[in-house]
Amino acid sequence: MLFWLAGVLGLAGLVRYFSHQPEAGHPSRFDLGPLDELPDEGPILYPNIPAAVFRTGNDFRALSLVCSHLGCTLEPAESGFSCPCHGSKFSTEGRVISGPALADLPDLDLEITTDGHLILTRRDN
Amino acid sequence: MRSLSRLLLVIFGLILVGGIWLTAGQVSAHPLSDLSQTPSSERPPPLPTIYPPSQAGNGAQVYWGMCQDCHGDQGQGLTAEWRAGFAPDYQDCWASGCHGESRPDNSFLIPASGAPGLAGPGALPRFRTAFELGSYIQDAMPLSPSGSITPDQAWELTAYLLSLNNADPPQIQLSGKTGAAIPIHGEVTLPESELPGGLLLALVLFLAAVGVGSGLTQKYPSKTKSGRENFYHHLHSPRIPVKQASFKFTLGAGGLAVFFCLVLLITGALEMYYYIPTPEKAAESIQVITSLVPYGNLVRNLHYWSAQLLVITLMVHLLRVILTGSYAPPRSFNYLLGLILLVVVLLLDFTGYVLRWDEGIRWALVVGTNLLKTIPGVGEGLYSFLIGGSEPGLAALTRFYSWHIYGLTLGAAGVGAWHIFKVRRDGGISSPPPPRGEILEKVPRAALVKKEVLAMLITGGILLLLSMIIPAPIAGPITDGRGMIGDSQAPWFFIWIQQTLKWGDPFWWGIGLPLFLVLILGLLPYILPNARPEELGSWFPSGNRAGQILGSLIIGLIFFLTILGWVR
Repeated sequence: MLFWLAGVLGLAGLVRYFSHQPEAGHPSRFDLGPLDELPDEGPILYPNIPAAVFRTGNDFRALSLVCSHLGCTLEPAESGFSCPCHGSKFSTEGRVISGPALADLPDLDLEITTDGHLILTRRDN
Repeated sequence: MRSLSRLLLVIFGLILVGGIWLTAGQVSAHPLSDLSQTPSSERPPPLPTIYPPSQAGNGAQVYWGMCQDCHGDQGQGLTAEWRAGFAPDYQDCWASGCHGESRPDNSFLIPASGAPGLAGPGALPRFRTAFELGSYIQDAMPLSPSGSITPDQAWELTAYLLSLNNADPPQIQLSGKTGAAIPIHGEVTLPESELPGGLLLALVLFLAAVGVGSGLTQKYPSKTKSGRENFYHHLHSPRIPVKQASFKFTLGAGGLAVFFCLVLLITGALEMYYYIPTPEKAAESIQVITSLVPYGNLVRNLHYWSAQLLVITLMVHLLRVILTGSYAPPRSFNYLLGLILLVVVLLLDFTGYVLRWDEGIRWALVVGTNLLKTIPGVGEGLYSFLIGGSEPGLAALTRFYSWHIYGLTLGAAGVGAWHIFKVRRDGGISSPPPPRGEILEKVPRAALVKKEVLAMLITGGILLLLSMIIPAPIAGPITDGRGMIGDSQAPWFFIWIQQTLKWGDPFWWGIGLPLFLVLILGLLPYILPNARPEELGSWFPSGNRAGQILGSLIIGLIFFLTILGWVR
């Protein structure tokens, strides 16, 4: 009985010991550079974020390229984007065309700084 | 008369105007001749110190005195807004002739981009940890004269900058011993007090011990249903003769060594979950364990102190075996196994010590590995086998790490198991042969285990106390180009070799002599007369007197040299 109690206490100590997370979080703000250096048309792919940025004139829209199924990075395909892992397909608007993914892709926040840099923020990872 | 007075007036006027003109001309030619003056005209008052002053609070004072003219009173940098507070002539630091391309000899150049801001989002982008920032401040700031601040001030400034950037600055004294663990960007979890962890562990030990004790008082069937004893009974010897269980004879050293090994295995395994064996990360990850991981400092201190006490316990064990003549056949081979274990444990201690990879181990590593090179013929090969390159680096650390957690540990476990098995196979702890027809009085298992549990509880308590009072050594990460900072002393168990190295040729004094001493110790049962069987089981038998003297001399010499090196 006491033996078990000691074990449970020791286990609680272990859980606390392992609770520390030494790894710093993934960066959430990305500087995509000055606006006038960005290409004028077509989706611009940023596989490291990962995200796709669509430009219409001076309007910008950013789409997450993390598959909503199990997190693989999407690739450009005829329909828009497709997942190399399990074959989900998405439109350029981020809508699911075919599964196994169920949820649409979220838009990401963009802002333009006073000195004309495009800043992308992703909060989900 | 009138014309004379008029003439005087004109002359006086000319002198006055000329003087003003000349003086003004001088001023405009050298507008800022007094360069010792700081340019701020409306210098904000220093921050009030709150007593007792925190490290960051002290840093704020240093900052006010040295840094704010260039970096701004809020750490905003040398902005136009901040410069607007300077006297009009001084507002352009570059064009004023003070800090531009043409400047007096006693001034310095401020980069055209100005002094960077130190607070706010995106500030201090080139530094990851407080250690990097603190080292940079000490090495490079202020621009002139650089290196003019003390290490303490550099850490105070670092703490102040952290408090400017994080809403919640770390409640930890920054230094080379902690700085690498504290990230500049991102939140810092507060360090833990050691007390709750220590009390928890003490409670766990105590409950387990009482559990074992109370379990022993109950009548358990000694055999399971299948008729075989259970695994624990299989490991632990059933019962041993009373004489062999005497603490006064064995000093309990062998059992204690087993206990320390168990503690080392458990705490070592726990450390592996946080330790990162790369030159860049090793010292930092140890600081993380020590400063930030809950109970981490306790775990590391327990590992450290068990390792130190294990060496001492093994020396006591060796001395006991020699002074009781216990190494006489049939135990002479097991004596050799024990000596091998001692050497393996010393290597384990050294490799573990090197894993710190901080300023404290730097020179011991250099000396220890270069010593191998002096071995004629095989030295160079041995060196590259151990280091994996021409100088210690990532390959060396990986090898030391693998030796420590795997190679040497596996070897020690194997030889250790053999050693313990041989104790039983050789007829238990040395004792005189039983008289014919007489049955020896024996200690039952329950009583024996009770004794052992008590011994472990006492030792565990001492270990816990030591670990909570005296921290294991730690130093700042190794940084290139900082020269001769750091500890040049060998780890204490090799101080005696550091002493003999001062006597002459490194190979003969640093490798030959220690090997020779171990060889002599190993040969004691084979070259000198042994204790007679009927003498066994008591201290100082007359049979191996010569062995006792020689063994004591060797161990005494090592002890003496260690003390000598320690005192110096």
